[in-house]
Amino acid sequence: MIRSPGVDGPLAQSPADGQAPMVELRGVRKSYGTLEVLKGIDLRVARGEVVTVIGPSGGGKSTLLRCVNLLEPVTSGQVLLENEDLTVPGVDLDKVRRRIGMVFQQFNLFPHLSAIDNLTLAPRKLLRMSRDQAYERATTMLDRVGLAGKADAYPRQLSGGQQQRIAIARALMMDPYVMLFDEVTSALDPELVSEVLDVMRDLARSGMTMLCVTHEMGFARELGDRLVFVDGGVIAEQGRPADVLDRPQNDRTRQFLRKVLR
Amino acid sequence: MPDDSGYHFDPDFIVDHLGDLGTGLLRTLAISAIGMAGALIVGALLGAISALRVPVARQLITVYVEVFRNTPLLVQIFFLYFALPETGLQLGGFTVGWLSLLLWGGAYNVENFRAGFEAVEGGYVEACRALGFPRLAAFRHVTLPIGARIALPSVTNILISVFKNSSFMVAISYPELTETAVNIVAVTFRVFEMFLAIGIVYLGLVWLMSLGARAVEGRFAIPGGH
Ligand SMILES: Nc1ncnc2c1ncn2[C@@H]1O[C@H](COP(=O)(O)OP(=O)(O)OP(=O)(O)O)[C@@H](O)[C@H]1O
Ligand SMILES: [Mg+2]
Repeated sequence: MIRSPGVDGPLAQSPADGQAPMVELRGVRKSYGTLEVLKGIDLRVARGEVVTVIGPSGGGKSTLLRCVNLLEPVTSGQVLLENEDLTVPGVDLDKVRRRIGMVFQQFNLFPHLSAIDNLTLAPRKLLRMSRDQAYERATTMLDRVGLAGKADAYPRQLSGGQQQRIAIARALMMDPYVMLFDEVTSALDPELVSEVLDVMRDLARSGMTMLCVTHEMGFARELGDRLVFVDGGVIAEQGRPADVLDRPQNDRTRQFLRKVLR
Repeated sequence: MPDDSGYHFDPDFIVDHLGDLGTGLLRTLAISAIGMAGALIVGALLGAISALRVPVARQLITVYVEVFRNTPLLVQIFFLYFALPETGLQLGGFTVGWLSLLLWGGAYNVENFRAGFEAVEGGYVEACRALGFPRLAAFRHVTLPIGARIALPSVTNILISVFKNSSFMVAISYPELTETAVNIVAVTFRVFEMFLAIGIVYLGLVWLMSLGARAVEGRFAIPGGH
C-alpha cells in the first residue's frame, strides 16, 4: 500500500489531487429517542490519512465511529465510502462492512474459536476463500502482529494486548479500505499498551486509512495527520495534532486537554 | 427383609419377569429418546426464533412456553390422550408418550436456549456484523455456538427430567417400565423387589446420562474458562 501524495499534511481533508476522500460524513445527525448524540458532523478522511478523534466521555466519539460503518443507522445526513453514498436505500451494508475494519475497546474476539479461526471465519464464510488459502493468509497476518506462535490459542488464554493485536489482524484479513479503532488500548494494562500501538504504528506507516478514537495523545501527536476534538455531538475543533494539542483555540478543547494532559 | 415382618424378600422373582421388564424398559427408552431429541431440537429452534425477536412467531412461542410450563405434565398427558379424541384426533399410548415428553421438555428448553442466546455478549455479535456478516449468519456463527454452551447445563438437566418423567405414562396405562412394574405387582404383590429393581434401573440410567452430559460440557468447554 502506497500513501498517495498530497494527503499527508493537515489539509488532507481537501486533497490537492482532487481524489475523492476515502470516508466522508456530511451533516451526520444521530438521535436515540429524544437524545441527539451527533448534531451535524462533517468529516472527510483522505486515502492513507490517519485521523485521531479525542473528546470527553459521552461526547459521541463511539457513535461517530459506529455511524461510519452504519452499525448505527444515521438519523439524517450522508455517509460516503469512496464517494458511494451508503445511506441511500438499496445499499448492501453487509457487503460495505466487509471493507471497513473495526477494532473495539473490549477486543470482542470470538471466545469459542482459536486465534487463527477468528481470523479465517469471515474470509472463508463471506469471501468463500478456501481453507488452505485462508489459513496461509491468517498465518502471515498473525506474524505481522507478532503472534505467529499463538495461532491455536483461544482468546481467553491470551493477554489483553495479544487479544487486541489478533482483533486487528482479524479486521485486516478482509483487506479493508479503512480501519476504525475505538479506544483500543483503554482496556489494557499500561504495560500492554505499547505492543498494540506498535501494530497501529506499522499499519499507519503502511498507508492504511485510519480513524482512531483514542486517549493516547502521544499516538495522536506522532502518527495522526489530523486531530479531531469531538464534544457535545459536534466537531468543536480540528487540525494538525501539534497545533490542537499545544495551541487549542476552543475553550472546551483547552479544558479537556488540561484534564487529560495533567 | 426379616421373615417376622410378614414379607419374604425374593430377588429371584425379578428374574422371572425379566422379559416383560425388558420390553417395558425398551418402551421407556424409545419414548424418552424421541422426547429428548425433540425437546432439544424444538428448544434450540424456537429459542433461536425467540431470541431473534421474530415478530408474531415470538409471541406464539411465548404462549406455548407459558402453557406447558404452567400446567402439570399429568394434565398435559391426559389432555393429549383423553381430550384430543373428542376433537377427532385419536393418539395411541406410544405417540402420547413421546409427544407429551417432547412438548413438556421443549417448552422448558425454549426458555433455556433463549436465555443462553440472550446472555451472549453483544460485543461478539457486533464484531461479527462489523466484519460483514448478515444478522442471521452472525447468529449462526457467534450467538448459537456461544449461547448453546451457556445453555447446555440447564438443557441437559431438562433432558434428564424428560427421561424420568416417562414414568408418568402410568397414567394412561402405556406399558413402559413403571407401568409394567405396576402391572406385575398387581398380580404378584412383590412390591418391594419390583420397585427397588426399577428404581435401580432409573438411577443407573440417570447416572449414565449425567456422566454423558458432563462429558459433552467438557468437550465443548471454551478453553481459558469464562
Ligand atoms: N444505544 C444507545 N442508546 C441510547 N443512548 C446511547 C446509545 N449509545 C450511546 N448513547 C448515548 O450517546 C452519548 C454518546 O455516546 P458515545 O458512546 O458515542 O460517547 P463517547 O464519546 O464514545 O464516550 P466514551 O468516551 O465514554 O466512550 C452518550 O450520552 C450515550 O449515553
Ligand atoms: Mg466511546
